[in-house]
Amino acid sequence: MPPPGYLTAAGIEACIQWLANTYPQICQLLPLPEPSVEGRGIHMLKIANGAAPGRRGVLLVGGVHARELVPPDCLASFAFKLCAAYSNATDLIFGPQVYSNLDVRLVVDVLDTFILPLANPDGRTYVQAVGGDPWWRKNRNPNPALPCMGVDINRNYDFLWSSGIGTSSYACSEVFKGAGAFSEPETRNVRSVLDNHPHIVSMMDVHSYSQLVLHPWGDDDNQSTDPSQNFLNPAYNGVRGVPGDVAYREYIPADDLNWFATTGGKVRDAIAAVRGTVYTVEQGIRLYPTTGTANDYGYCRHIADTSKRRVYSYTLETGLEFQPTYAEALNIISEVSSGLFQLCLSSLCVVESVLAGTSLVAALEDLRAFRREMESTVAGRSYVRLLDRHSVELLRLVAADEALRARALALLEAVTEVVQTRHRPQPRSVDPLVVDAAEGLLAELQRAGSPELAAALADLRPRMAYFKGKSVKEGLEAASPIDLPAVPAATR
Amino acid sequence: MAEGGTRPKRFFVTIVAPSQEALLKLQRYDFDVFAATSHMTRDGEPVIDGLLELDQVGRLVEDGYQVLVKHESSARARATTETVEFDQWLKNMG
Repeated sequence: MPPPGYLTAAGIEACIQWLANTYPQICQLLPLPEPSVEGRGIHMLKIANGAAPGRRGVLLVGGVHARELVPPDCLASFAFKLCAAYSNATDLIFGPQVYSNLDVRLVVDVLDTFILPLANPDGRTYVQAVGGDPWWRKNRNPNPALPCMGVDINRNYDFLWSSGIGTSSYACSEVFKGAGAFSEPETRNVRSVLDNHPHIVSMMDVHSYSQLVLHPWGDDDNQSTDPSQNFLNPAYNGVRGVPGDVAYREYIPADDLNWFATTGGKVRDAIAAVRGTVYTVEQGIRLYPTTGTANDYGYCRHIADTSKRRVYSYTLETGLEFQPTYAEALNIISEVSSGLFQLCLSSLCVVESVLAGTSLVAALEDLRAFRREMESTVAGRSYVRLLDRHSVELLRLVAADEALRARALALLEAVTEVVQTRHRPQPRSVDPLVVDAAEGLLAELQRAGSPELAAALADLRPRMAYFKGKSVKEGLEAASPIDLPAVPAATR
Repeated sequence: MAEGGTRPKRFFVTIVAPSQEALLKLQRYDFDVFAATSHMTRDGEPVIDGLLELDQVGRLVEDGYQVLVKHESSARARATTETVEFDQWLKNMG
């Protein structure tokens, strides 16, 4: 029999504490540095088996807006089911959508999944209190000397905070942006999570409502041709925030936009697989711009500070109302959980997965730098995109076949040795035997893979010959790109 | 909205703006509108959902917006009526 209602704020906290106590091998309760305005402790879960260096992380956040009841329950339920499936060695089942136990093990063994189900416990407590306001959105900052309580946590990040676009300086507004960027402990907590876990590569801030998967930017329309039109450039202050005009459009690299569209499409498809609900993948702005949001903040960090890692950030807007009947909420929780698990799968990297737990992890930073250098060439970029597009399937194939994994590891070891010499005056060239080994491994994956993967690898295999006897840099310069099929419109 | 006293009734509404520019100007009212719901209808009308009091509805109508009132908000409130503590939740998760 399903639970008869939404968890209270205290119930969400009890749930994640119970999970940490019940599954100590894979579940860790992490206190966030600051309590809420009213003094409540805020915790997140880390679900992971092992702590090998070089792992990637995913951050799932819920309960930012108090009146949106579904997201905290959704994240609590998702954590519960993921832990149970891993510990009981079962599949992860969301209605008709079944993720194999192999997928579950991939996520838990290779990825650090951080779940912050209730970022704003004061708000939810007030919403659920008799005599409270069921439609309260903000936190419960008393805002001394101001006429109203509360700050909209999702307008309090420092992404164009001063611009006032889609925010308000009036304390009684539902989008009151606060006294300053990061004025609120709940916002600082999320910043702290990203600062203290720099291996987080993707983030989903779960809200309600509208059945949307939103990606940056939220302040203005996107463009990928003029990098000078960006949120850091003061020359455009006062010009931003008008969708549909040509005065300003926010720059986003085409490859990042492609990642957002492709992965967003996979999340959308995973949601639809549960009961046919089709969410829309779209840029955050829609018709009504916003600033100071977690979505744009998460993604902009690596642009504002190049020492930070890129975090692909989404906002997911669940369902069609703030407080659906709990019977309907359960359906939403099931389909959204499927989408969240898909985001976890899509955040895995096949190279990092193969290297996890080996001595080659020490070379990962250099391999990531090489990946960035690859992305600066047309051919290299197309190879990286191919890997990204098929990463989940490649991971499954390698994880399911120990011999294949051993071959992949041996190949990566050989390639890493060459890659690490690429900046020397006389870089090492790629041994023809290594090229043959790569070609052979790709052929094996082609045989075992889906028709889509097989077609992609059939394109890639002959291009390995460009690297024979050359340094990796020379090989990339000589190589021809793969003409990847566009992301189908249905997945955009 | 300041706290204390009896709060006027609120209604879930869909606001139809006469133009995209007018939709953007909604920000000036400091009303409770939901940014993520903004979209263009098949008929090319910019719309956005919100939670408004009746006098706010009146102001918008006076200013040229159409406001479709959908529900009185208490009819959609489940925050206090459909809640459980963790023990009960866990029992049912089985």
